[in-house]
Amino acid sequence: MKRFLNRQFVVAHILLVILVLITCYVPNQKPITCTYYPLLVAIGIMELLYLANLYAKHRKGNYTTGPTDIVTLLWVAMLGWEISTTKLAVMPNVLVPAPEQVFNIFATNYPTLLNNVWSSVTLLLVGYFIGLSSGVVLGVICGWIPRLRAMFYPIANVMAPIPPTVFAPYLVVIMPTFRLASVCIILIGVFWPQFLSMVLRVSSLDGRILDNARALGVRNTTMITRVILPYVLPGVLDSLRVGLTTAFLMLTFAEMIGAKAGIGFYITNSNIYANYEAMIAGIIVCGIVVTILSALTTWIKKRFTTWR
Amino acid sequence: MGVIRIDGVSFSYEDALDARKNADDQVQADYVLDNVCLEVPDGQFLCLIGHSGCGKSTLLRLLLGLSQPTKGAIYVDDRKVDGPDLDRSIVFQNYSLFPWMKARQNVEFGVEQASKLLGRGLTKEQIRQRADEYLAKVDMADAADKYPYQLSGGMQQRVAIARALAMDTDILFFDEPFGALDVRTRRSLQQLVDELWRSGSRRKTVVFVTHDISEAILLADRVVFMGHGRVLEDIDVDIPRPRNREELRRNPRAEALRARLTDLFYQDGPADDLDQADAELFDSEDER
Repeated sequence: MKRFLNRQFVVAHILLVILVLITCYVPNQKPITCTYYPLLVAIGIMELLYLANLYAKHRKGNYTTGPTDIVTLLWVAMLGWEISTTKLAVMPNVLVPAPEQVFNIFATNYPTLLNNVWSSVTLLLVGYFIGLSSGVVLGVICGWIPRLRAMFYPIANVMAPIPPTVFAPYLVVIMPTFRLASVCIILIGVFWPQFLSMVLRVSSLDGRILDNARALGVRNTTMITRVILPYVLPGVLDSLRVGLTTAFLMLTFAEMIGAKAGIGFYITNSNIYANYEAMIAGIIVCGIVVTILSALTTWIKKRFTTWR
Repeated sequence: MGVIRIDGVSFSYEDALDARKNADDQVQADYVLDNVCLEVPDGQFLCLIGHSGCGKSTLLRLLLGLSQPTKGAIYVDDRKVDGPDLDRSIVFQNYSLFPWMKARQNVEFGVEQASKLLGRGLTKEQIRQRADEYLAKVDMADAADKYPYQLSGGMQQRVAIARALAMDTDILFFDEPFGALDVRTRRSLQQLVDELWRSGSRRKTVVFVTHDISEAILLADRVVFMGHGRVLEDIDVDIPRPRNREELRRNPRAEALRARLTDLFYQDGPADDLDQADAELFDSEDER
C-alpha cells in the first residue's frame, strides 16, 4: 500500500485540492452563465476512476507509475485551462470555452449526446461485424484455394491501402440512406485489411500443422472449421482493437459529411453554429467511446485467446 | 490387416515440381528416393534408419500419402496409396498436436476422424471414453484438460501416441518422434511404445523412422538402413522380447548389430556429413 501512496500521489492530490479551491472560490474574470457543479462532478469522476484503477493495480500487486503520472498531468492541464479562461480570461472569449461551460453541456444536453452516440455505435457495430466476418470468411477461403488466392490477393493489395474515407462523399450520394452509406464505408474500411491479413495468414499456415491434419484424413469443411479457423483466430482477435477504433474514425468522418445524426454530426453541427463548448464535449465523448470500445476488445481477446 | 508393399518407388522434387509446371532451377536433380522396394508384413515393427537427408522421412511421407511417388507405387493391403487414409496414423517429431485443442480434444479429434471416415459411428460419449482410456494408457490422464503449450515436449509426444493408438489403425508411423527430447524422456517413451505395441490385442504394423541406433535395436523386429535414397541394408533383429537396455548391452547379437550399423553410418555418410554422424553416434553412446 505504501508504494501506492507515495510522494507523487500526494503531489497529485495537492494539485486536485488547488484545482477545486480555485474553481470554487477565486472570482471569475470571464462571465460564466452556468454553475460550476458539472465541472466538479467531472473532476470527481476522474478522481474516482483514478483511485479505482490504482486499487485494481494494488490488488493485482503490480505497481506502475502510469496512473498517478497521468492524473498529475490531467490536473495541471485542467488548472491551466481553468485559470487561463474563467479566472484570468486571457484566452479568446468564444473560441476557447471555459471548462464550466463544456462540462455543463454534459449536464444539460445529455439526451442529445446519448442519442447521437447510440446512433453512431449501432452503425459502427453493424458495419464492423459485417466487414469483419466477411473479411475472415472470404479471406480464409481465398487463402486456402490457390486459384482464388492468385486472383484476389493482387486485387486486395490494391484495394486495402486506399483510405476508405475517400469513398465517403460518393457513397453518401449514391446510397439511398445515410445510415447505409456509413455501413458501407465501415465495411470497405474493415473488409480489405482483414481479408488481406487472413489470406496471408492462411497461406503461411505451418506445413507441419497441415501435414498433421491431412494425415488425420481432415478435408474440406473440417479443415476450415477445425484447423484453419482456430489457427487464424488469434490474428483476428489481435486485429479487433485497431479495426474497431479505425472503423469509429471512419464513421465519425462520414458523419461529418452528410449525416443527420451521430457523434460526428454533433461535432460538425456544433462547429457550424460556433457552439465550441458543445464541440469540445463531443470530442471528449469520442474519446470515451473509443476507450470503452478498446476495453471491450481487450476483454474479448482475453476471453477467447486460450492457447497462446 | 496391415501389409505394406513398396514397389520400385522413386521420388524427386524436380519431377514433382515439373508436374506442376513450376520451373525452378534451384531444385536438386537427384532422386531423393531411388527405386526403393520393401515389403512389410502385418504386425512387424520396422525401423528405418539413416542419415539426415537419406530419404527416410520422404519415404514416410509417401507411405502416409502426403506426397505421391514419381515412379512406382505403394500398396497397403493391396490397395494403392493415393492419399492419406485412416488405416494409417502417425506421430510426428514436432507439431504432432493442434495447439488450439486441449490434450483430450486432440485425442478425441483423431478418434472422431477415424470414426467418421471408417464408418464406425461412435457417439460423442464413446469418443470421449476412448480418448480418456488411451490418455490413461500413456499416463496423461491428469493432463487431459491442458493445452499443448502447457505440456513438456515429452508429454506432448505421449498425447500424440495416445491419439495415434486411439484411432486404432492397422498401421502406425513414427517420424523421429523422440528426436527433440532429452535422453531420460526418450528412454521412458521408448519403453512406453514398446509396451503398448506388445500389449495390444493385435500387433500393429509399425514403421519407425529414427537416426538413433540404440533406439532401433531396442524396438525393431527389422532394421532397414537407408542411404542416398536406397535401401543399403536390411537386417532382421532376432533378439527375443521383452528387451531391456541392460541385457542388450551384454547381448552379442545386439553388439554385432550395433557395430554393423555404426560402420554403415561412417561408410555411408558423405564427407561433409561425418560430423553429424559423429554427433548421432555420440547420442547413442550417451544412452548406453
